[in-house]
Amino acid sequence: MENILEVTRLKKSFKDFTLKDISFALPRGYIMGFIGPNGAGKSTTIKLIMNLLKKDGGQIKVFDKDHIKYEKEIKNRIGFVYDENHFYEELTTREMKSVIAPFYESWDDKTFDRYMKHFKLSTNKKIKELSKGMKMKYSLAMALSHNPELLIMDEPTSGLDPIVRSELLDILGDLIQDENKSVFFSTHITSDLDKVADFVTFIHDGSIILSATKDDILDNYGIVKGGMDLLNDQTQKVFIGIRKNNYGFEGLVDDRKKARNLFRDNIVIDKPSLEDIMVYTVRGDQHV
Amino acid sequence: MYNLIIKDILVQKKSLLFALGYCFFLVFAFQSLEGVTPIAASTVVVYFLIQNSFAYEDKNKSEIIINSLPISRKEIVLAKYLSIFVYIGLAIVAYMIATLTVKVVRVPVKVEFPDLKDVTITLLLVSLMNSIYMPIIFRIGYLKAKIFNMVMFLLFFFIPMGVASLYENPKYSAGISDITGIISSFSDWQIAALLAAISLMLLFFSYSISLGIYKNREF
Repeated sequence: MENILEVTRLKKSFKDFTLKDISFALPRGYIMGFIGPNGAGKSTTIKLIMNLLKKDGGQIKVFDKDHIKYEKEIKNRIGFVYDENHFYEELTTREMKSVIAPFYESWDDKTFDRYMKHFKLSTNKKIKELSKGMKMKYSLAMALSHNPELLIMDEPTSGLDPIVRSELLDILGDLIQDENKSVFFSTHITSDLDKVADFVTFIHDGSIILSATKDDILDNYGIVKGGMDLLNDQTQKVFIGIRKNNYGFEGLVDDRKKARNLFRDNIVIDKPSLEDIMVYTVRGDQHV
Repeated sequence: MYNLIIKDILVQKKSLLFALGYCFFLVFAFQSLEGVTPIAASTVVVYFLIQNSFAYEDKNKSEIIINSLPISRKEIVLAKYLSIFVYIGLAIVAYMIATLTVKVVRVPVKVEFPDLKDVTITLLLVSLMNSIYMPIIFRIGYLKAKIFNMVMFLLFFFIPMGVASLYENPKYSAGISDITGIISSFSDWQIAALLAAISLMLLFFSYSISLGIYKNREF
């Protein structure tokens, strides 16, 4: 499988935050959700891919090419959407389009018009007059009108109402029907991923906790419930995160079979949601 | 790259009108001054338009978008420097519109049309100013550079006044008239070419510094 995006041992240090040797890969034709709590390093990673930040080490390959050496060529084939709208607020949607369009070799006005119509966006409205949801749709129309092979989005769903959010996710789903395209998007809303993601990469505190297909993750991880008598220093080690109370415990494991072998029939194993995985991993050991 | 220059003008549509209004204002306000109106008008208009183009980017944080487009940082920096010439052109046009209008409607005031000397002095002043502040803006961003730019802008007004007062002081006037004597021995075209060459060198030097800075800038 050809990787459309490949990040290897990527490093970046700031005064108060470090991205520690992160690696993951997204094959062509799939959607990867990049999840993690606020401040985990999602935006930093995306900015590094877009060369808005300079990496301290590691390698980023897009379309199998170095992202700096072939920056211009790569950016011609990437669409981007950021969490905030950084367009010139004073311009109308059409004016802003004419500012951006000439930069792309394969910009297609017909595609742009089609999206504008589909999103019910007016072409002579000023950008500052658009609502948050409309701005997001406009950004998406702008990002897709040069027919990008890879769409990179930083928190596109944050602050959107559920209807616009589901509309946006539908579009992503439609987009990869064309098996040549991929989407990489960050979010802290795990339900976005339940709906559309094929791959999930989970980042926490500058490190990648896991990066795999969503199905693999949901098949292997499990929420284990049982009585407190089962827990000792040894058995507790299998849990990534655990929550205890007077009646028993509930914990996350990354290998259901192992947990079953260890505790036999004394436990109940539930399928976790991505949210469970995120919350247990981040909060670790907790007592109620 | 030309798209970037066009973008800066498009974003500033309204400011262009303001620039035109400002030129009208100066035609009337500088009635008592001899030979400086065209230079003052064009220099201020160019200063204003360039600052404004950076301000718009800063306001919307649009550099993030610009730097995500398929365009190199070299082109981004170069576009800003080349736009200086476009703005000088626009400033002169704006000033010409103002003076011609005043002339045509026969407003009883004195008007001065820009000549070669005015254009080259404007070029020199504008190049000098931008050569200093553009690298600073590229380094620390428009907002932080703003105070510095204001101070420098004022200096550009006070320094010529200071030089003028030196001229009146008998202690220096002999020396200065020696210099003006040498200058006046050249033809207008020779002086213009010299000033233009100095301006271009300043800009090129400044561009190299800005490029070095901007290549490593993080957003």
